[in-house]
Amino acid sequence: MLKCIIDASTLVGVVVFAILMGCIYQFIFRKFTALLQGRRGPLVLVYRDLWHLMGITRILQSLYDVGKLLAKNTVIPGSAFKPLYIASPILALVFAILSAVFIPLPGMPILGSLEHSLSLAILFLALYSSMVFIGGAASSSPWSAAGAKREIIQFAFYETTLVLSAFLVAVTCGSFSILQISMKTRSLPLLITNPFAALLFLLACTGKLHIKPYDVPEAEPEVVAGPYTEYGGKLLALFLTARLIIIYTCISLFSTLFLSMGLFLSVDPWLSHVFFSCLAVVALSILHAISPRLRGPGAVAKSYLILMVILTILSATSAVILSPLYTGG
Amino acid sequence: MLREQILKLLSEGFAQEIKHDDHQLLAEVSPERLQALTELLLKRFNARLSYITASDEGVKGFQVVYIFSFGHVERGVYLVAKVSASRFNGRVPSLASTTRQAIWAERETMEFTGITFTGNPDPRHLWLPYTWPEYDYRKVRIGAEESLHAGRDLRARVIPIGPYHPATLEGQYVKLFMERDVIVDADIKLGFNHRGVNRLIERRSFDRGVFAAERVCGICSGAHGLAYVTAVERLCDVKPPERALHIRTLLAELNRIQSHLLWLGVLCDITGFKTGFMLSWSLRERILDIISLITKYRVHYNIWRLGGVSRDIPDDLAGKIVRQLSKLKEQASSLAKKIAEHPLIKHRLMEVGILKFHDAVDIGAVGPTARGSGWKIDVRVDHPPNAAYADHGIQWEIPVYTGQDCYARLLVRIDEILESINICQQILNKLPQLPKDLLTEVGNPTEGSEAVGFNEAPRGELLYYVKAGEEGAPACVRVRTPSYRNNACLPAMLKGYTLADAPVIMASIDQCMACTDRVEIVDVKKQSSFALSWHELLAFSRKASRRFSINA
Repeated sequence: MLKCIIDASTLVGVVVFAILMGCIYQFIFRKFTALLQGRRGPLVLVYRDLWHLMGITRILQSLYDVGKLLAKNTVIPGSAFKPLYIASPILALVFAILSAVFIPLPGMPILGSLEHSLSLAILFLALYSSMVFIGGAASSSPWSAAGAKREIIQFAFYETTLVLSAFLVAVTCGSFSILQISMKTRSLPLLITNPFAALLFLLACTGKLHIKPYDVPEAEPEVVAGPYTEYGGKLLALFLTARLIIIYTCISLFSTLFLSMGLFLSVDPWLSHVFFSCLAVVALSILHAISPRLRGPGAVAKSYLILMVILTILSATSAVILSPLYTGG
Repeated sequence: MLREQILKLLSEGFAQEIKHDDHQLLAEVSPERLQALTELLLKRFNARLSYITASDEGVKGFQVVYIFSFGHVERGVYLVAKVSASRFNGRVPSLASTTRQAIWAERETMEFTGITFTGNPDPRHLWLPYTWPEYDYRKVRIGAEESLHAGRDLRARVIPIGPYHPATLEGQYVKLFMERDVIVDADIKLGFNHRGVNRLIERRSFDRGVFAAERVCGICSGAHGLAYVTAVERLCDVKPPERALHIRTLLAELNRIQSHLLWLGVLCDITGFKTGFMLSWSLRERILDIISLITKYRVHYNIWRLGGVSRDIPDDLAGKIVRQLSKLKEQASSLAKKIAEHPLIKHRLMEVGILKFHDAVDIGAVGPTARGSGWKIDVRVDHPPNAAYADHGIQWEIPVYTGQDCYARLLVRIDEILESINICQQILNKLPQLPKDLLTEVGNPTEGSEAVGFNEAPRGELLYYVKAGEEGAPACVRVRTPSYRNNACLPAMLKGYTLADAPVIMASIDQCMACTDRVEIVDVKKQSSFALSWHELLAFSRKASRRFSINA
């Protein structure tokens, strides 16, 4: 069915592009976090005498990590529920790819032009996250179980936040098509008119991408690696690849929905898209560097609830007021 | 005054033989009267039972040594009470019902010597492998398991932290019994790093023992060196020259600063505040640079000698360090303020891991853990080591907070960093006026004489009990580290909190398992264990260095 609406070459192109952009976003994230911590972070240009060992640049470090894991053996714990344990990372990757194909690129709408592309992208993002905790629960390790439990609690909140944010954007623009929203907001970006919805979306992204203070499901000192504790080798590589694609999807969706500034700033749409996506990554890296982790799932729930309610009220009010601007009503 | 009162009490039929000097009281006590004596000492004189250990007296059997400290009541006073026990099936009444300070020490002594402490509620092994058949820690849990089963929920989930876990970094096994997300009970098992350093020191002469003592811990090596030389100098009745005393204080305080900065980084890491971790450790590097300028080493200072120190600090270097420390003080103060006032750090530490004052006293918390619970004890005042502190005009405040939680312990350590920098500055400003002598000659102590060397290590009270043997070698050396004491407080601190709080609570006492577990090498293939001699260790080290230089 997918073949009917997207051809194989476009799908491969989107996957490769998503993985590469995911790596670049992660590089920017790590680099800025390192700079704020007084470190150098991953090197853009490796010292010449180390080229034979490390290559010329470490911008694609995340990809090398995946490559290394692919070369390793996969160990499946005896106590794990094997079918789900193996299926979870595979399905997580499939859902991550499916979420990425709904992100329109300047000049390339892909599936972003579909009438309900926003709803579908968010649905696949949620399915990806559910695979993470299902995999963790299938591992049968106390740490994975504790991590999965935390992920489920956080999932309930960040998915609600994401849905609310997307719904408010759709209501403001009168469409559930990502491409149409992007076209309608190009002359007047939503970040300027409804910054609360943008903050709501970023709040959801921090939870989904486990950025501090919302990295409770993967809190190393408390639950080791959370749902990923028992994963290694090729299965972990699939999870990490899926994560790279999710980083791309979340960031690109944010910049497409809220930072479509091509017309507004009279610059090339590609340049605008990449620049503002990077800016969003920098904002997240600053948040990551200055925040300690929250105190367990209880604190996550409380902080999400407070922020969600406040931001939803504010952005809903803005949406009602601004809706005529975008819908022409 | 207090000394006389204790002597009077001891002479009321409690002790068979009493020896004493200015501070130390030594008494031979009969096993029958031990419990009554302890109760009186604790209630009437507010004593602390610092340690229980045993020395092997050969055919005579064992001598169980009880070290009672009164330093927080009257400066420098302590009592070493000794009870004889037979080599075979030796029995001594347990003091566990009188004070919880005795439980761990009795378990340790039972395991090492085979003496039975009748009435100890928890006779499980502390150091043997946790799968040891006698008590398999993974399955059996005497007492606590019963109380859990008699309680509300039979399905208490067990979450193991360790033996190797990202939260603890060093080997230990903490078993958390969880009901939903709440810790209802906790158990701790040590022994994953046990290296028998006591025995290594006993195999060396007094002057070479200091090098082994320094290697008990890589973070507070300075504190161990100072405690050991203090104990041996007390045995020999030697007072080192003024300048040496000041240099000792300087290094002990620099040691404290770097240890606290390291801890601050670890706390930030555990709470997920990596930026705080990086900044604290970069500041710690500056302190290590200063230590390296003075001693030429960063971890083991190799400066402690019986009767003084081995290196001087030239006046120009002292001036340079003072300038560096002024800058560091500002940076440390600013960083500590940012960390302590961060709303999320406050949220994670405040009202978490409460150790009530009476629990701290009863279980015997020491150092910043005790001071964070409002108990003003500091060995630098109570039992000053052979270094320059209040007696030599050095002034500082002992930070005490009454919060009793992890945040209070954070504030205590932050204040201590600044106070220690202050002490270092006073010492460095004084050094140019002091005579240049660094060493005093030290003779051999009388055979059979014994002494206790105290020092305030970064984690709290550190104690070396040394008994002189033949020909200038120790007959018995025992080390009681602060983490040993603070670790015993952990179960009380963990109960009622969540899994998310457990690593923070464990970090708040600044656990050091290398100290607690005090090298034995185990050949897994041959299933045998052995200790390396000094020359073997040296050859081993040279071989490794050569290999490294070839690879480099």
